[in-house]
Amino acid sequence: MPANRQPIISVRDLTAQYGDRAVLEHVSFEVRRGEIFVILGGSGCGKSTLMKCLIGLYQPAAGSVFIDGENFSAADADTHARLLRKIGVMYQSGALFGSMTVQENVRLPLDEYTALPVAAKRAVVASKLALVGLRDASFKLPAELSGGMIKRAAIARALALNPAIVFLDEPSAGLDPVTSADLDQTIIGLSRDLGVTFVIVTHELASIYTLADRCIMLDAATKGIIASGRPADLRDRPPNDLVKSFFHRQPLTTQPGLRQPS
Amino acid sequence: MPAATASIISESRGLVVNVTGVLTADGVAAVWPVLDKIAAAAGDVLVRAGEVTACDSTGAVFLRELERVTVSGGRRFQLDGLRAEFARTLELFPLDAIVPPPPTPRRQPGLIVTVGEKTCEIVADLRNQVVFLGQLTVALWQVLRRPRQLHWKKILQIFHTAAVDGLPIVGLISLLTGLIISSQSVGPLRAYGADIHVIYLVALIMFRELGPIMTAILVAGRTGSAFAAEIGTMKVNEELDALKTMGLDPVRFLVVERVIAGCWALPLLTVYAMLLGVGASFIVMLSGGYSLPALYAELTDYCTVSDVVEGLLKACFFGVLVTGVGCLRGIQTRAGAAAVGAATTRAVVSSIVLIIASDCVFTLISTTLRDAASLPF
Repeated sequence: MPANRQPIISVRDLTAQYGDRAVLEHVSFEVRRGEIFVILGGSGCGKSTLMKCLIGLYQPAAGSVFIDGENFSAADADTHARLLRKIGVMYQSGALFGSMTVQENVRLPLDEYTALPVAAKRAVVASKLALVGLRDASFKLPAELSGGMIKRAAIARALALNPAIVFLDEPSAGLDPVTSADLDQTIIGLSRDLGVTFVIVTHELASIYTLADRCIMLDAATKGIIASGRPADLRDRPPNDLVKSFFHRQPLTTQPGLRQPS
Repeated sequence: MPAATASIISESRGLVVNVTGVLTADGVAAVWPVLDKIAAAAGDVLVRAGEVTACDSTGAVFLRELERVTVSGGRRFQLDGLRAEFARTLELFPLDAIVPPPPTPRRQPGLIVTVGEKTCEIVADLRNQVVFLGQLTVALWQVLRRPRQLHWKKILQIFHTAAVDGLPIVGLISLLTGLIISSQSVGPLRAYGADIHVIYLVALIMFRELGPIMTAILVAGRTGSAFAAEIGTMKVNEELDALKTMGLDPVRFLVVERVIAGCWALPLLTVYAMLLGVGASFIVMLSGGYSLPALYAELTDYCTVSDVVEGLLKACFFGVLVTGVGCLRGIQTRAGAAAVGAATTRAVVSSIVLIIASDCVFTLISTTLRDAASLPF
């Protein structure tokens, strides 16, 4: 991935808090156009909060999120709606609408936001489902799909309006290694072929090495970014013990009461 | 000015289609009608796309659809001048990828099959209710033998939600019902010089029938539906499976406490409803000029303790029925958010039907017993 690409997301001095409790403090980073960017960290470090700020579901207490050069976190209603069309989101559970078939789920954004004729919508939906390898499941209900198929259908729905950025929340969670690797390849293919920027929240090491062009690591104690760069670099040259323990799957301290392996 | 244009020029060899502009969703919406014209025309098709300035996957789908419409008529298709970066996007969508698969035929059962399936469903539901009643009885028996197993704090919480929080709505409905019945019946009875008997009429209705029935229906709407939604959500979240794998009986763990709380809550709420209903009739009659001692004498002369006891027995039964049905429908919840809504609806509908049906049986029994004992009314 060329390093000189223009940023498509700029997070500047972002602080997020629930009530009086700050979760993130003074977080700044940039995501470049067309790259696969991974946000990682342990449980409770603020990954999901950061993602909610990026997709406009949560208003940061301070700081700004710029999408394609426009201030998303301080946008008026019209700008906010226009910027929302530039992003697609896949939630951890898929969040497919249970009463709709797969093709109806993918078609919903097209019905709401485009003036395409019915035949065009059908063709576009078929093409998106073909992209994620779900053409044969078009008329199935979400309850009839496997975990991997639900995630694929959710990605197809996120891609329906050809967004410039797609956010994926824990795409590998709950999937077997083969399905997870398969999904990783789909994401890489979509990034390479469609030029979509992916922002992925995960803590699956295998996926991080496979997918990420760059990543940042958050930490609950410092409430901010403790490392950033290419995953292989962070693994080989960890800047601190936290990063080292994460990438090498080592416990930070010896916990009392647990017998250590001999 | 549309984002994209598509114009057709007829030539001797066939059609030349000039596509220009931005081929994204808005542009494609503007140029899509050209496909019908191409399908209706004859001859090979040459698409000139040199002036296409943007083309995302929706634009690629449009260009592929142009190709599909042409070649499906046995004609030749040629795309000329498309920029290399757009051609790469086009390559992502092979011709067969844009064709929607044929819809999976859904089985449309005939009338006989539908009636048969519905009958089987009703029989299975009745069977489930009987099985559930058996499980509940066994669980209650086990708990009665070891009362310490019960979580009394939880029972008190459920009781508070079902009874104490229900006081305002039960009170309001009972008061208004008492006022309405009194106001409507005082006129006809006055024609016979019997308007003082409004007190007896309202008391009889509230003690024996409306007190327990109204309260039970309100509790079914408030508490039974809440039980169904709560347990249904637990089922969807696999919490019931977790209980089973821990060796805990979901009926004993989730249902017994709710049924015990409901069994106490409903009679107490019913007493409250009876008092307010009769109190409303007192208000109407006092405003009509009758004295309080005369009204009280009317009540005590005609109504007996057995009328109140009959109502309370019904209330106890309805308490078990409403909470039990709410829990059963929750346990029967299938997968998905819609299933929780369906379970809630089924809980309320089943409860109301069973309340009215069982009240009919109660009334038949009490009437027969009164006839046998030669008691008035």
